[in-house]
Amino acid sequence: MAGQRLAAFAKYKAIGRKGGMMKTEDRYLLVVVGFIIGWITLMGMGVLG
Amino acid sequence: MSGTTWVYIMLGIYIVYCFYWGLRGYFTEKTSSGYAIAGRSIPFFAFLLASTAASFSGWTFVSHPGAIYLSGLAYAFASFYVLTIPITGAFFGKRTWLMGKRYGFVTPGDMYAYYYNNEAVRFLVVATAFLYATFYSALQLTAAGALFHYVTGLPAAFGAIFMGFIVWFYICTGGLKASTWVGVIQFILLVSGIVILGAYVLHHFGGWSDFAAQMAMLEARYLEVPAIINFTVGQRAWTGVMILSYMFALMGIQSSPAFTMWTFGIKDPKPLAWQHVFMSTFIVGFALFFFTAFQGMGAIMLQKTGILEFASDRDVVPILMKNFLPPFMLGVVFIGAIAAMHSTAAPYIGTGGSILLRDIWWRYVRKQQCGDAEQIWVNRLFATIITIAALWVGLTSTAVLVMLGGLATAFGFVMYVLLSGTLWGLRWPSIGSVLGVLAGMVAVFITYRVYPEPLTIHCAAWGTGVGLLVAYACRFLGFRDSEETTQRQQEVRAWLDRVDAPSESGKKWRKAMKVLVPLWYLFAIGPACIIGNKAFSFAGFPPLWSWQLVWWILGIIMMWALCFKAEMSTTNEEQIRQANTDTMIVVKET
Repeated sequence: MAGQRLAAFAKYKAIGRKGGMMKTEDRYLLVVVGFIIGWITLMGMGVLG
Repeated sequence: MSGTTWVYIMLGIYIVYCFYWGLRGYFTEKTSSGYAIAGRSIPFFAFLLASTAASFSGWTFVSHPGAIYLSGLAYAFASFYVLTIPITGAFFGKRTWLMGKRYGFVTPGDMYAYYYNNEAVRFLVVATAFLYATFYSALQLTAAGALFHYVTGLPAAFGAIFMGFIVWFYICTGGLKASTWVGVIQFILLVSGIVILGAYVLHHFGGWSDFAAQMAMLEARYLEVPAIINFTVGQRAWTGVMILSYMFALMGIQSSPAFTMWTFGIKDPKPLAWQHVFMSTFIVGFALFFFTAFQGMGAIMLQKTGILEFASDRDVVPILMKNFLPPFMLGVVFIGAIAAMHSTAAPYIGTGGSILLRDIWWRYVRKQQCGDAEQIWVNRLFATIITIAALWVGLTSTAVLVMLGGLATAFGFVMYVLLSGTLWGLRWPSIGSVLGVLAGMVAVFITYRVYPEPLTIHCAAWGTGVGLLVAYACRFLGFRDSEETTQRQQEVRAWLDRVDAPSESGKKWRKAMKVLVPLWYLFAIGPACIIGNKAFSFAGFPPLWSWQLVWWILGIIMMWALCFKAEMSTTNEEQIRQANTDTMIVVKET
């Protein structure tokens, strides 16, 4: 069981390194959500005056 | 140079662009379907931008900030239509395109009449399309005329006719393809205009910190949802259920006959998911949740401090433009507003003309016996009639116009009865579809005009609710369809279920979305949004604005899950191949 988990984790890490699992729309979603949160944070920090 | 000079320069450049696409279409589109639905060849990029621009009319640009000025943040929930308008596309867009490809439908009337084996449905859709196109376009053109008057000082009637002429010219010459390519630039102008005006308003206050500090001192009525529901008739209040049902009305925009016809025109469904999630919910959402709100909330504070005086909510945007924008920016924002109005009027006038041509002239007057040239010219004639009718209504019946313009989107939402039956197989007999739509329209009118908004529920929700009730009642009362109709519907269902079957992963996502989407509706824009009055606050935003921002971000994630992961709007090469080859054309084009 633990071996299987380890193998799955290793596979996940390998995929993560290659970036193969994320589709274009998934990457766009992360960028969009990150942008909005960043924008609100900057507003809170007073960057927009 | 003065602001007015820049307005004329920008208008000149814009007219050249519009006329270029119109004349290009005039010399290249030689078939009826080429003119009416762009030969089913609208490309990814063009549909992505143009359909987004068409969804958010001049009303978004001019009236939305004005309505926030009147009612405060409770009304700002309307910005969630960046999600609720395209969610209709997520439900129906892909299957509409598949149906058009397989059966050769040109108009929505073709599709409903074939599926229900019933010509009465066709006439109901034609009536809806004509009224929708006339009154919704009338609203856009009169608003354009009023803005023209504010900025240039020329009479509003002249402005409306001039703006009507521009839109009429490029529709009549170039057809749907011209309207779509002009829509591309209109989208960019629309979003830029909203952002620029909002930014200048914010700048006037000295930035966000000062803006937020002044906003915190406003009375609670501008910063809170007043109630979940009011047990009243005829008194509009932005209660939780009003916000929810008003969003239903706006869902009617993409279920209107015009949008159904536009979807027939796209080359393939690849742009749908991207339009719904990123162009509409994110980009337009970003403009509305921040910059439109800056305009509306800013106007409240400017009025209270005596800096500006707004005679009515309609004055908000023009007065902000004239007072805060430097000359060049005035030109840009003015064209943004005009583009917003044209981007909506154009597809409605264009598809309205095509629907009248195909469903009345070609089918009944000419008995399906006329060639491409005649169809194109009669189509132009009908588009001209709708433009003239829109201008006439707009310039002569302002009071009635406001009422009928408001009815348009509610009538569009009633089309859910036909779309959900045809595309998703909700079962009621053919007579149920006719009586359902009729009853829905009557219910919309009664709850708009005779007993307005009972229980603070918008007429769109009453209309579609009654429509579905009547349609199902016909089924349970024992009405039965003919053998031919039943077989026809079984064939459509079998084909759609085969060609549009979700993957195993898609099925799991769909199961989850059946719970998550209603939950989102309940908390983001439904009765539970009242929790947002005092729930939490961040970065200087009042609690209700913070609530809206959080649920907007969650809404983007929900739309991504619905459109991409649940495969409601995605397609693949095999599906497109099947749609292109597995055809069973039931509608002649010439």
